[in-house]
Amino acid sequence: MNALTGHFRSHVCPYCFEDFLLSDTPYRCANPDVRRCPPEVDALREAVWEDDTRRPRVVRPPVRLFAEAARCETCSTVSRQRLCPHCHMELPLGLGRRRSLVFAVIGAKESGKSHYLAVLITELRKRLCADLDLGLDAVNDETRERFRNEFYRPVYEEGRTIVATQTGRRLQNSVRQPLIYDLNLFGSGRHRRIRRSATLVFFDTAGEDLDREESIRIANRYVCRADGIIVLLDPLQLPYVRRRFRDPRLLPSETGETSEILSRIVRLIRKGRRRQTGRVPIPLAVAFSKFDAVGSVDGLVGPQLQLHSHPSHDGGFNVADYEAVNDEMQSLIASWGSADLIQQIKGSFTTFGFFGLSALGCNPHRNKRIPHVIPKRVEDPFLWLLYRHGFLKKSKTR
Amino acid sequence: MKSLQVHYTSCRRGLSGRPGYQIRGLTPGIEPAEEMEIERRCSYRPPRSSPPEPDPETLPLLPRDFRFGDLSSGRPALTLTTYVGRDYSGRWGNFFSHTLVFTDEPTLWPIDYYEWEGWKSRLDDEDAEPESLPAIDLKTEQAAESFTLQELKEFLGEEPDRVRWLELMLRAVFAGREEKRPLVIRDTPVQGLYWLACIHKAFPLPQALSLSFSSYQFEARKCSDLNVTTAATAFRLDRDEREYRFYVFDLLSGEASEVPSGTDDFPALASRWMSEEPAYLERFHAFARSFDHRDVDHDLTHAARLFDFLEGRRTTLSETAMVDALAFAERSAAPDRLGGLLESCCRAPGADLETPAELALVIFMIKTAGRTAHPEHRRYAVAAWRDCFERRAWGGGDDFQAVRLAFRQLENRLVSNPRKLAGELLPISDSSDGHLGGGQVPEEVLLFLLDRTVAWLTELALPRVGRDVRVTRLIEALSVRADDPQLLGKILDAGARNPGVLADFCTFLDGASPLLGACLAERLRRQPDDFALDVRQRLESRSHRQLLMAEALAIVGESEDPIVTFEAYHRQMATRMPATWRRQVGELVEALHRSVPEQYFCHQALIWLHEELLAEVPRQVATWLAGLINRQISIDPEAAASERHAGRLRQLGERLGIELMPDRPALRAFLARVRASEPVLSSCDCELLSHARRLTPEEYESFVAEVLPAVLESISDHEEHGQVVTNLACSEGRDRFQGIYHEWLAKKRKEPWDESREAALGFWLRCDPDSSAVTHDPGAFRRQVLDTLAQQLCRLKRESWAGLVQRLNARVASLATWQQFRENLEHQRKRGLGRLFRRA
Repeated sequence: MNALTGHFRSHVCPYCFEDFLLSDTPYRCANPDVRRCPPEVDALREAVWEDDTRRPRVVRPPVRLFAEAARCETCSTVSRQRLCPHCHMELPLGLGRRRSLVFAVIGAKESGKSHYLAVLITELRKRLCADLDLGLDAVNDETRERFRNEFYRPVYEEGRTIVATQTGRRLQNSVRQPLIYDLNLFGSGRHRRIRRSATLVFFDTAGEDLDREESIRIANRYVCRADGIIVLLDPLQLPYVRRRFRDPRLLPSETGETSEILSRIVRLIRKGRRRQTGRVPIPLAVAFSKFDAVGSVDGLVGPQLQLHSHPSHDGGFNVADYEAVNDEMQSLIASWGSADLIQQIKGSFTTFGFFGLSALGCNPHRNKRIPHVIPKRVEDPFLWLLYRHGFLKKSKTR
Repeated sequence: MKSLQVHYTSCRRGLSGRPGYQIRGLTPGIEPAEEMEIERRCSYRPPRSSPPEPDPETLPLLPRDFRFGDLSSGRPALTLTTYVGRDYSGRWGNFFSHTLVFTDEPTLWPIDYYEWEGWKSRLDDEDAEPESLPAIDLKTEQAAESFTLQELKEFLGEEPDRVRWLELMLRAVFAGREEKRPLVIRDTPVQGLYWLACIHKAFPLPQALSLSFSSYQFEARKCSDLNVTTAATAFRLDRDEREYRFYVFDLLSGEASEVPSGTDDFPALASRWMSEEPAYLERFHAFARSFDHRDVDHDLTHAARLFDFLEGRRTTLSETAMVDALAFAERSAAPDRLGGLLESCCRAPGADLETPAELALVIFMIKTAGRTAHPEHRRYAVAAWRDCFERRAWGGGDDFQAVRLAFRQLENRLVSNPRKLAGELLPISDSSDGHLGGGQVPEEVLLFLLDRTVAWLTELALPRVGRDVRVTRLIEALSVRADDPQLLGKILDAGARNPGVLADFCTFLDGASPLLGACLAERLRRQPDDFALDVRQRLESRSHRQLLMAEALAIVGESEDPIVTFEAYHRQMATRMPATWRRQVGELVEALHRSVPEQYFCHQALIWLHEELLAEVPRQVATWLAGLINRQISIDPEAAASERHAGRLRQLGERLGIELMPDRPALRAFLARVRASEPVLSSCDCELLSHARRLTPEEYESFVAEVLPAVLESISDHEEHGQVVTNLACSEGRDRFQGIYHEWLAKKRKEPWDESREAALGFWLRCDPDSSAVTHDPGAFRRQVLDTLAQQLCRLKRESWAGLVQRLNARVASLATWQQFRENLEHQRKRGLGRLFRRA
């Protein structure tokens, strides 16, 4: 997508998820001299986000077509920082030139969403980007700082679990702010030109936010506008699996909402899309987290399964591996007495895949310490979604 | 006062039915919208510098968020959030929020509930089933001992800069309300609480309740009005935040935002009181309850200054400060507290106040008494005004205008019982005697007191108000300058509310000044007709005729339209006071004549002629006016406009026996007869002709030119001829008369000789040239006439003129003139024959 074509299609704000055209976007004045252009409270931002912070002035959208910048009426500084016309949040700079992919990571309380995101993004940057010739960069300081302070540092530097995510009902809470990254796929030629690019938007939500209808309306509007959903299910909540665990202290508290969470997601999306019937066309990656803990219990997961292997995604998405894992996971679920879960997903989504993964590679339930991080298949759902959206090609390796 | 409770934390069992952050329990009665709002308030993130997994000893050291603010429903809510570390699952990051929702307004400063023993900081039993919480009665709750004003005084005294910091913080609160810049204080958690307490408790409770606060704010967004934060939070407190977003007081680094300067304002006063006299601040808080004022704005400065003044701490206030303070009090005073405020004002030291400030205070008291309508308050207000009056009136009268203004308020606000008010104020007049002697009391004061005394006596329905000694005493004091018309007028103004009083004033002042009549006229002109007549009748009955005459003359003389004024006066007086009118009318008409241009006056006289006013006026005036009218009448019968006037004037003259000179109506009638070829000349007519000599030269000339030939032509008697000639001829028009006469004489006729010329010849032969007014050289004119006649006679046949000569001879033979005429006649005759012969 080049800059010009971006002006002819609508975009989705990664914050408020409203559609807008590039020609309608105002700009945020870029003048650093607050004396020449004093900051002020952005009334729209205050109304939408309860954010009464004084910020540089809002510059009206320029009249000319295909404008990429605007000049501040007060100080004449040229600004390129676009704002969402509906909520006045700063939009990623590449918006319009890049495709925007919103991936929602949702799941029940304690299903490991925050840990999954922490490890996924770290794995992407450290390992997979090299394998797949990808580039992943945070689009703003907020994403960079938040990821570092709230996700990376506890897990990788301090070896402890991430604190429980607070509910997103408090609007000004940083929980409502997504993690936004630019993802570039480089070409293989001498100049390594960018072949494809996308803006990735990850949401880490509190499990409680899926509880109540009003919370869903406020905090999870993004789910129905997502381009892909990774739903993390905790296998340790399945009754069959729990019964096989000898030491109950290693188990999280029982919530009994594994299938219910899927029902709520389907209801939420249908409400958001105002379609009460039919299957949801959003690709759904059903990922069973904490698979290392399940694998440690004898007889739950056979040792010969493809799930135990380390897939290679060199040059693209390993489809053969995915298909094998998908089949294995469905078999396992059925064998664990939760075949209704599979039927529920088949009846609700047009595109879905089953995955098993472990973000940490260890069970921190007892003392909340993470001695080491050995992720397993943590990238599979994400790469599958990229593949489904045509961002990645099929890998030639098997 | 009931308070509803909410517990919020991450727990296994809560109201949602699922584990996680949720409301664990609440008191029934909290609305769903309030629940959601409370949930949004419940958030906690420990400082970044705190250990990620604090041990049990460290946990209590983490700052607690004690948060206060109104919910959208309007109910105040107080939340204490404590970090508890692990949740039911063992994960870190859990906190416990205990919220109290007040169903009524708190009776303590919110910070005082910090030490309430009922605060929960963690779940007692994780596995217990959630149950509804009871409502709490906080009515008997005592203020936190840590935050008593005495404790806060000690806190401020611990470091020398703290009072100054507090003053700046308070000023920043004011500025921040206007600029939407919250206050952010960075200090240790404990000291932060004390700062919050100092700021909050500097304000009276209603204002404090309008200020939201948080004792530990992590996020730099959606701040309360007052925020305490610590190091390692989301606040950067950089230049942007210091100068634009917040009013920052970073007491850890010593940096602070620039705060607007101010002196003697609420921040200065409150911080001083708190640091020096907490009890005084407490009294101010009690005083502030007198007002229905809840905003944190500069009205608090007014309240503080007013309090300071009423407490006697400051003996004076500037005019602006006093006016603003009282305006605030008037605007905001609670109805049930007005009385107390009024009593405080009564005790206030008013003696040192500048007049405008004292006036403002008195007016405030009056207005307040008017609002409460309480007899005691009314008494306070009246007493305050009396004090103010006596200080200004007997003390030289400076700024007395202010006292008058205050009195106007007194009259307007305490109007419900004017009789009582008059009774309360009349003693001022009684006591005035002691001050009038030295002549030091200014005129303004005396006039005011005179005016009011009359009003009060009238209100009390006392008899003979105008002659009351309290009144006359004041008039006496004033009348030393009776030559000042303005002063006289003002004195009369004081009595002008009652005809009897005004008449009494005039009686008292009559003779004191010749200007009294004019002043009275001025006052009566503004009054209704009946009022004026009443006064005049009273004056007439007391024989103040000169005064009445002066008044009448002033009415006419000083009016912008004297004629209209005269007419109005005439209509009024002629019917109601005819005797007075008759006495006055002559002088009035003359006055009118003096003040009105001639043509207007004459025109008016014509109107009066037709309205028969002239019949009412004295004969002398009527004669004069008839003369004026007479001058307006044209003798030309063709001038129709004069016809009506002439007839009416003639009737008037006949009725009143007025002799017109010249009698233009008669001359006009005579001329009409001449034109109608009816020159029947009577003896009256002969006399009338003499009036023609009084006509204007032009009129005279035209009259003679028309009348003389016609009349002479009809006369055959030389005596009548003579009468006509002598009556008509006048020295001024002599030349013209001679010319007309000679023309008539020389005029060619069918008959060479007739009786009229014979009558002329008879007259001229007999007339005494010396007594004739016809010519200044009678001899010459007579000769000329006789020559002419002689020439005409010569044209007759001899026997014809011989008979005539013979007849004439019999009558005038003895005269020398006749001899000359005969000789001349002979000469003429001979000269004619001789010419004939010489020609032959």
